[in-house]
Amino acid sequence: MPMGMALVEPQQFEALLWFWLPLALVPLGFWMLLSRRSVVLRKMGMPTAFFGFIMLMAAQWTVPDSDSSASGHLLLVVIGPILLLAIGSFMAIFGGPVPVGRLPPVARPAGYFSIAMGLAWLAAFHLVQSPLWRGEVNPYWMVWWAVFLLALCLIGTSLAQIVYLFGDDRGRTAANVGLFGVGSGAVLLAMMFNDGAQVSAIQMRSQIWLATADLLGTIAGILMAVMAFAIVINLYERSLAEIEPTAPLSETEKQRVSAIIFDNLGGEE
Amino acid sequence: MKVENGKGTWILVLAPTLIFLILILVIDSVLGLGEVSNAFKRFANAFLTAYTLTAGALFGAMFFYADSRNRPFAPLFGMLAATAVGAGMIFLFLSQSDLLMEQSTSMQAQFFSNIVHLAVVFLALVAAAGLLAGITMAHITGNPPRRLPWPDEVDVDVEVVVEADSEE
Repeated sequence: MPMGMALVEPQQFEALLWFWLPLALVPLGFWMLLSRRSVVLRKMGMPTAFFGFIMLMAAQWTVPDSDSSASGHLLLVVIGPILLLAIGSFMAIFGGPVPVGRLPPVARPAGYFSIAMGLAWLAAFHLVQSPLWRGEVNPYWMVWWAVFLLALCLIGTSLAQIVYLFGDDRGRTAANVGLFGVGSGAVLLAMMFNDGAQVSAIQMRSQIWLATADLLGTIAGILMAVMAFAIVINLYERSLAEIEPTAPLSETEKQRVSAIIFDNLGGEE
Repeated sequence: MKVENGKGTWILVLAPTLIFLILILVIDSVLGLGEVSNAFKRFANAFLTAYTLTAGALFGAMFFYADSRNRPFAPLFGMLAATAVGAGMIFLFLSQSDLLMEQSTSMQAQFFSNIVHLAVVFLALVAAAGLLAGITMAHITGNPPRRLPWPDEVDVDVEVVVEADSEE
């Protein structure tokens, strides 16, 4: 065995190759999509991220011994409902009277139906059959479900407030979005009192408490990093020397500018 | 209702979120929590991992910024230092016996577990935010405002009054 390989256990190497490399490909693909230097790099972005997603979802078969493959299993389980929610939102938005890219009127109710189906599918995972991994409820499913509902409730109520305060005559929209947020909170409360198919009420209460810690920690961490980014740029911009005003135009330059303006104004008349 | 943008407005925006969060947590704790002794560890791990990975991603974004500024090294170095601070803190706290260790057996396992955990939380957060944005946009596009945001263009007959010049 080569010296470099001896430093890593075979199982770790498999996890590195079949789980962590695909996981790294997802953000790398999105980063490539943003590239402005090379068109080829930009075109390769989406296939790279897509390939990463596919390999992540296959992790439960490619590296079944790795505990991290539970997250790949979760992704495979929730990708269906998430696609339904995304397609439903798209159809509901563009099925309305929008000026560009308008879909047929039937797309709007079909979009809402698709959203309802996606949410029902997720609820069925709690009420009918939870995603099982190694014979038990996937631990990441409980994390994902609790954070999803909590985020729906908290972001929904704030979004309703934003629409109401900043929108012009948008009270009805704010009420609908707010009701959606409050409804998510009601579902969360119902799960605190009632057992699901495989997840008990007390397990759910623990998960909601831990999901709050996860959510607050994640949001605080992201905000701190963005603040560090803003501080670095602000410090650098302030350290730059002030730009000196340019010299006024010479007579030759003025004549050249006048000639260009004259050539571009007036038309054929 | 229209309001001016200001500090008070943001308190109003965040107020329902905070009220609901407190309400949920109070009901949750009154009913009985079960095993939640790891809650602080979860918060700290989520915070440090989210900070470090986001700072790393923003370090990558700094290259785009540097492209528009004759490639200076100072902001790149600054963001690299910010990322290194996060990575250093993770290493420091995870190496302090079980200060931030959850169920993992080794520091390395806990570190990787944190990343996977963050990815799961981030996916849930993005899915929820995306769904809410979609529903809001669908409502907005489906219900155009009753009155136009600009005044109606109406042909107004201008009455021209010619005053007789007294000198003529």
